[in-house]
Amino acid sequence: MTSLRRRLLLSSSLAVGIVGLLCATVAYRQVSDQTRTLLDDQLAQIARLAAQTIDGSELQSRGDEDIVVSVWSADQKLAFSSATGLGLPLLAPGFAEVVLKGEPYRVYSTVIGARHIAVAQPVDIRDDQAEAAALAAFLPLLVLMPVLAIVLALVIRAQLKSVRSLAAQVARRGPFERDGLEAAGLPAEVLPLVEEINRLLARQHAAAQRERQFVTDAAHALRTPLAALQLQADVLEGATTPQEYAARFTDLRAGVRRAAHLSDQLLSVARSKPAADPQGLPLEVAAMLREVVDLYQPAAAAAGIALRLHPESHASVRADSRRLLLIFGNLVDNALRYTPAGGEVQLRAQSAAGTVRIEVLDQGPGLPPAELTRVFEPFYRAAGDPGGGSGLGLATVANLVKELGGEASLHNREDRSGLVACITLPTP
Amino acid sequence: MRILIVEDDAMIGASLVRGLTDEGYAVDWVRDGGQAEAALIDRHHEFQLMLLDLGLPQKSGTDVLRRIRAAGDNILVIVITARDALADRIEGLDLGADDFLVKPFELTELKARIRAVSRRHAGRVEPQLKTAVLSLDPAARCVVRDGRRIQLTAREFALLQALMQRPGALLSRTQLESRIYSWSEAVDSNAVEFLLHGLRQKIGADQIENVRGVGWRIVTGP
Repeated sequence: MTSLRRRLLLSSSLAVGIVGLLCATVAYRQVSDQTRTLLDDQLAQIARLAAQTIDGSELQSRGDEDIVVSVWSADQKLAFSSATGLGLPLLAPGFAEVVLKGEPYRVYSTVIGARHIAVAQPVDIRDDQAEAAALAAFLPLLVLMPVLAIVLALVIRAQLKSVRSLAAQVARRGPFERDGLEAAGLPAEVLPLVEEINRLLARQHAAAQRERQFVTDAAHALRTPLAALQLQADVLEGATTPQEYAARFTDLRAGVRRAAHLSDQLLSVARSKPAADPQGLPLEVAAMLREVVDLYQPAAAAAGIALRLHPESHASVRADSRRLLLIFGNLVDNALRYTPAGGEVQLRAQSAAGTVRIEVLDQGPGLPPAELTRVFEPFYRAAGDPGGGSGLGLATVANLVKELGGEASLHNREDRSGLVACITLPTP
Repeated sequence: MRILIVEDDAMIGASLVRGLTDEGYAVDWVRDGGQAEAALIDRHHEFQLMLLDLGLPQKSGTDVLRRIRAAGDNILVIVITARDALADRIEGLDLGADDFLVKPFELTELKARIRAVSRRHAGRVEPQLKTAVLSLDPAARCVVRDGRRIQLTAREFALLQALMQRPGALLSRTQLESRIYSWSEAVDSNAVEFLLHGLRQKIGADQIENVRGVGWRIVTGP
């Protein structure tokens, strides 16, 4: 984990350190150079002073023991020397460094009037002085650097306090809290993040709400088939003749089938993901519809309804057959429930560019236009619902079709003679 | 007793009809609120009790309950519903339901509640219906005379129960018919007389008094 505070502190300390050291070095150099120039000026000044005296002996009283002065007469004869034993040589005018008695000296030589004057100073002393001056400039910077670092740390800490309080606010939140995070008083840099988090929280809240609603609805939807099962089992117990027993047992079986079918539908709704990848081999639409017709033919016959297939398409779709059977089984089941005895339910398939359009036509009462889309919502039950449904059939269809990248819609037949369920699926 | 079932689910409705018919009740079943109102208004006072599902398509059970109570119908109502939220139950009871049963439920519980509700309705505390001579136990479905148990058919039991529900009150042939036969049953014009004849033979002819041209009543005194 990287701490923003630590990183800020480290990088700013590093910057302070580098800049400080750079400043200190430059200051050290400049001050020591200036000190040397100053000392050189001092040597030249002493030389000028020495020229004004007769023999330079007055200079001794100035107390600059480390400075050696020698004066030569016009005929280059040594007239005076503050340190005779040193053997300061007569040099060309200007500055020079010479080693006298094993010690390096800086020497200034000049000619004033007819006389030659040389002033010398040990290099060590000059260096000591230059270093002392440079250190005096350098040290305060070095001491100030850690102070600056501490101040920076405190400032960063204070500035990041809002982030810490934000974290505390997040930590206090319950899993199902509706409100977003408090954005007041946050720095502009953090605000976009908080706003995005709040948007995400709102989306999650809505999703959780939908899930909970689904679970509640599903539990309620299960109650009816369970109640039927309970009662069917109860009346089975009360059967007194073998015929009664057989009839009641058949009912119980039908109840079990219905409960199983509902749980299938619930699972397929619950499992459906918005953008799942449809996997499956190409499947011929006409063959699949024939299977649906075969499956529902007995129920249609029992209800006195003709179930007919008009495949005008040789298209295939990429989907697993179980899903397709669930989709068209639900639609045919609906069509049979709404079509009166003596009526007809038709299945049609037509190819179009890149798609296949499959229609289930019934001869029922149709739907008010306002309900044509609403009936796809889970657990929605239209007016005139003959009952017995779970309110999940069309929701299941819509979900499965969406998973396959297709579209599901309902239309009233133009002559109001029934309803058309229309499924469009992409062909590979 | 005649019961009206208002339930849109075919399986639940059919099972309720069977279970309650087994018990000797005369049961009719309608599938939506409109039919329920029609049944109650057209054939007023024929039903003593209604089992009402709240989750009906179109006109809801709540609407039906509100309408019939507003119309002053005092039929006993047991609400059967998948909605179990406290608010739903309170609303149902406040609208005039006598009892509330959440799906899924057991038939035995429903039968017990039907008995309890009708007992309370008749202002009785004792579960048994009694005259000086006879004792009828609706739960155990048995009739006792002089400490001896009398075997009755389901119809005979229903007929006797109808007479003993309000001891001393006269019930006409149509009233008795409506208490023990549902619409779907073809009833011979003398079916009630035939049943009464059989019943009198079993419990004693002196226990049921016939007021010629008016009807029958149970004899309360010794």
